[in-house]
Amino acid sequence: MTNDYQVDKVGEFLWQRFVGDGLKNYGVLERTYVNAFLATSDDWAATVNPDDLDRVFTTAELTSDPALAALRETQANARVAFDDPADWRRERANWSVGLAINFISATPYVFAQEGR
Amino acid sequence: MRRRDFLKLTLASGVAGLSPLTGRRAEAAIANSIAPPRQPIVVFIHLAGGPDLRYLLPPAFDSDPASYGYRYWQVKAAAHGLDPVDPAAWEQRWINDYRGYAANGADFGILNRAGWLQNMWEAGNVALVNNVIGGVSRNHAHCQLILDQGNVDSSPQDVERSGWGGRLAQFCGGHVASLTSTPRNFCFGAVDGQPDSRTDAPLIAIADSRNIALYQPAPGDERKGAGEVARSLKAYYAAKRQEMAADSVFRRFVDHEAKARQFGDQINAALASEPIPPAIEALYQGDNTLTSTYFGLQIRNLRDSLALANTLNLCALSMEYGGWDSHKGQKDFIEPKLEDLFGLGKGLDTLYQEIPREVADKLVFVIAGEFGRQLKANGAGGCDHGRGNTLLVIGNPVNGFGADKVSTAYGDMFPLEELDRLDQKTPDINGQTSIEPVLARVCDYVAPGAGNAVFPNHALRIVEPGVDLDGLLG
Repeated sequence: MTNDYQVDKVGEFLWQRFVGDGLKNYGVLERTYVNAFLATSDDWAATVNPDDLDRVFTTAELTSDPALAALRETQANARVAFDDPADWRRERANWSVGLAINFISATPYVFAQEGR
Repeated sequence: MRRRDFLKLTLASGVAGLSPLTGRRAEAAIANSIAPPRQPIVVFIHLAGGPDLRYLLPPAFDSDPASYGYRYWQVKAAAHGLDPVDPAAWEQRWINDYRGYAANGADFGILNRAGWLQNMWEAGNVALVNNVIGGVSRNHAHCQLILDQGNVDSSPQDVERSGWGGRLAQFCGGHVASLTSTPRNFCFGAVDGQPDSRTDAPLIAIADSRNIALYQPAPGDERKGAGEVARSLKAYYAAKRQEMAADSVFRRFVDHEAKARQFGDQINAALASEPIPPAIEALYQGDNTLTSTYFGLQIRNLRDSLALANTLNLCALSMEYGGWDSHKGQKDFIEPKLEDLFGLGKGLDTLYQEIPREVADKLVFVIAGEFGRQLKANGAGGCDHGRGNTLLVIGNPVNGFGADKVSTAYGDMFPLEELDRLDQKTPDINGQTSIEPVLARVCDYVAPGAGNAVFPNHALRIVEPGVDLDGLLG
C-alpha cells in the first residue's frame, strides 16, 4: 500500500485516513507540504530556503519551477524510516508523521464533507 | 447589644471605612488606555449549581422564637456550621460574621467575607431582587438552560434555542463576548428574530484574551515542530486563497482562516499596549490566587474585553462561577466562592480597582444561579435544591446616579408565609417574580426597547405584588 514506506504513498495513506475523500482534494499544495514533513522532518519552506521561511508557494510555481519540481520529486520518492534499525531514526519518522497529521488536520477539507 | 444598635453601629462603621470603589490602586496607573464603552454593558455571571444566596444575605438574628430572624437561624444553623439548639451561637455568628443593613422593611446582613458587596451596597450600587424564579424543576441542567436562554417555557430538550445575551447583542447590532472556557447558552443569538432558533453569529469567544490569535511562533521557535506546522499552514492558506474557486464548499474555511488571523492580529495589537495589572494577574497566578483561578482568568478576560469593548462593539459579556451545589458542609463549601466573587481584594473588587470610574459607570452585573436552595438545612450541614432565589444587580448605574441614591431590595426579603411551610418535607423560597421581567428591565437599560425584543413574553410573566422595576437602573 505504501510501497515500502515511500513518502508520497505514506502521505496519501494519511490523507485518506483523516480526510477520506479518495484523494480528490490532495492536490499539489497539500502533497508538497505533507511530503516535506515526512521526508525531512522539516517544513517545505525550510527545505527550499532556510532564510526565507515565510515564502508562499503557489501550485503554478511548484509545478513549473524546475528546481522546486525536482525537490518535490526527491522528497516524494524518499522513504520514511519506519523500519530503520536505528531507534532515533524510527523516532524521527514518528515525529514526521505527527507533523504531517497536524498539517492535514488543519486543512479546510477536514471541516466539511462533500456529497452528504 | 440590641439588634437595632448593632445595625446602626455597623452601618456607621461601614460608611466611615468605605474605600473608593474604583481606581483605588490606580488613579495614576489607571490612566490607561481603557476608554469608556459607548453604551452600557451587561455582565452576566451565572452561578451554576444553585447558590444559597440567602446564606449570603440572611435575616438579622432575633431573639423572639416566633420571629423570622429566629426561625431562620434555627432551621439553617447546620448550614452555618452551628448547633441547631444553641441560639447564643446563632447570635454570635450573626454579630461576628455579618454586617447588618435594612431594606424594604427587613433587617438583613451581608457576609463579612463579601466586603466588596458591602461597600457597593453602602454606595447605593446594589439591587436585590428577591423571590425570583426561573426553572421550577430543581434540575440543574434544565434550570440553567432557562436562565441562560431567559425563557421559562424552555423544556430540558430545548437546547437549540437562543440566549438572552445573544438576542440583546443582536438588538444592539453588536456582540456578546463569552469569557468562559466554553460559550454558555446565554451567548447564542436568534435566527431572523425567532427566539426558538439559535446562531453563533453575535458571539465572540474570548476564553483567553491573551491567546486569542492563531498561533504564530515566537522568534527562535520558527523551526520547532509547532512553528513549522504553523508557518506551513499560513503559507498554504495564503496560496489557497489565490487558487480556490469562489463557489467551492471549502471556500468559507479558507476565508475564515484569513478573518481569524486578521482578528487575532488586531486583538494582539490592541492589548500589546495594555499590560495585565499585577493585581489582576495575582488572581490566577502566584501564591495568593483566588480559590478558583478559572474565575480569576475570567476577570482578566473581562478587563481586557472592556479595553476592547468599542472595537468589538460589545454590549453583553458572559461569565460563570460554578460549584454551588451545597448538599453537605455548606459553610466551608460556599464561603470561599462567595469571597472569590465579593471579597475585598478578590475578583470583582480587584477589577473595580483596575478600571477607571468612567468604565465602571457603564457596567451592570447580573449575578444569579439557576435556582435557590431549601429553607431548612439537611442532615449533612447542607441545603438541598429549591426553586426561588435572589438575583443581584450590581453596578454604578443601579438605582440611578444620584448622590443620595440607596441600594434597594425588590420583593419581600423574608416572607413570613415561609414559616408556615417549615414543617413541610422540602420547603423552598416561593418564586413570585419571573426572571424575564427583571432581565428585560436590564436589557432596556443597555438599549432602550431591547426588553420587549429580547423577552417577548416578559409582560405575561409573574411579578410580585408591589414590585416596580422602573427604578432599577439609570
